[in-house]
Amino acid sequence: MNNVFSAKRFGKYFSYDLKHCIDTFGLSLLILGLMPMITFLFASIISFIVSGDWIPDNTVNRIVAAVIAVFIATIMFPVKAYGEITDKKAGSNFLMVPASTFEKWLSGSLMTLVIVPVALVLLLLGVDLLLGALLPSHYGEALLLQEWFRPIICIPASLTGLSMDVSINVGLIFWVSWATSVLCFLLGAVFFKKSKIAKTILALMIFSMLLSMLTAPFANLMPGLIESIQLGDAERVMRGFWTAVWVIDGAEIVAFLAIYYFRLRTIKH
Amino acid sequence: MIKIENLGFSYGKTPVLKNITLNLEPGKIYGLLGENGVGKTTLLTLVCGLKKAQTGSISCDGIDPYSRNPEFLSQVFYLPDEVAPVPSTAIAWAKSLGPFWPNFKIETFSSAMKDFEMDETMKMHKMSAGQLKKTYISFALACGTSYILMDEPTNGLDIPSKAQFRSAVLKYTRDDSTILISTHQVKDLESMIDPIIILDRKDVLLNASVEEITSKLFFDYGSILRQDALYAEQLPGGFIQVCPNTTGEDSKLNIEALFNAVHNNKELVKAIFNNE
Repeated sequence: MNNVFSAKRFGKYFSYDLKHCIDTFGLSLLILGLMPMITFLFASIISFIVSGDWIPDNTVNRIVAAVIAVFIATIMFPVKAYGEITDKKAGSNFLMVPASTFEKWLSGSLMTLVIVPVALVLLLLGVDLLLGALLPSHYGEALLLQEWFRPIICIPASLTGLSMDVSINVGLIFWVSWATSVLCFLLGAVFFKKSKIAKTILALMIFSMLLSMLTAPFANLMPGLIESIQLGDAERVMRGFWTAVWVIDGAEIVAFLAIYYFRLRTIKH
Repeated sequence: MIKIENLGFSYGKTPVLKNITLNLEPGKIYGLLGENGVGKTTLLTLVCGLKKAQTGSISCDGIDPYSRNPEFLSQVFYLPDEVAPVPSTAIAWAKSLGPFWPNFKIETFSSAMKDFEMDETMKMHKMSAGQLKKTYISFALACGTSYILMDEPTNGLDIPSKAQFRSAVLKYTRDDSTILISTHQVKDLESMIDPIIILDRKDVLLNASVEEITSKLFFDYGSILRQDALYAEQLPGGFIQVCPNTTGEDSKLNIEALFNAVHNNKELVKAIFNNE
């Protein structure tokens, strides 16, 4: 028997984990996915009461609702789905399921970094698309059909004053931001026994303060960076900047995942 | 076979288990007895891999339980004293979790649930503590594992369920399974546990089969108080007394009296059983 990874056993564990996530977070995810509809209904009712008419432009409300939904999912999902690992009763059950630590870790990581964000984004955009199709005059155009709503956006040089157009992979930035944030809350969920969300936020605040103190000396480099961009070396500087961002974020994700594995491997009850 | 050698475990600076050496053989239902806080639950969690031995070693068929590898986990089921409610029906939970254990049989689960007069379509988070315990017991028995470790399995069970538990364990467990039951409710399990392990703070006071115990100790239910009694307790109409068995006479084991006799005469009982 392969005690590290077996595709058959992993498949079985993944489907068990998926069912567990649906049981613990499915309804919350559904409600969060319906946020555009809930916000639209709420804003419409308020608008009717105040002015007796539909809201003139719903786009900003929808985006704010989606951001709130993503934020709530980020802090709630890890605690609801995997927070029980620190509980003696449920945690013992989790550890005693005959699958390897690697399989449990991989399943939890996939669920947190891929399945839940994809499901939430699909729900948010799907509901938005449906409402846009059903009530085009009142709800407005669906976000997916709007010109500016693209995973990669290009900012023309005329807008930035730089010597070149700047393209930003918003989709990747969104995913990386989600990944680093949700992994922080996942670690909080599996390390802290009580007040998991509050303690995670507190730990993040302390960590950010320490990081700011450590990186403060590098702030002196910023004027030089801006000068380099203005001198026409924008392409090289921007490429370097984004490479540094991806390397730091990638290292952060890898480190968080490694700590998560270590916690699963060493937790005792 | 479970081999425990010179096992030691402490919570911080408080030692709980010290130099524990035990061999648990297949096909036996071990009763693990001891006062509160002597480390019965700790021992069970060490054997199933939920904790790591700080000194000494544990091996289950050559595997260190703390490795928590699937090969070991698929051969063990640990039933804790308190079990977690799950937001699904008992049958759905058993069907989704059971296939991880290669010998799991859903028919056995359904049959055991029926024996416990339980409705398997009931939501587990709506069950009472006793009903939840019976669901977990049914699941433990349906897993068909080589090792079943149970911590106070009869806690929370009503009177009929205790008898149902005894018959279910005998009916559904494999002949070659090693079952280790930690309990304070000795009367609930008196008829089924054999051998008996009595744990003291940092020591194993007794690890012997019922046959060995009754060959070395005599359980006297008469009305005359004996001078050589290691333990005596007045009962309506007489006494229950535990004495050294010098004549080889047969007697009926009383686990509660045995526990008290061992507890009051630790060194003497150890000497009797070690043939010193």
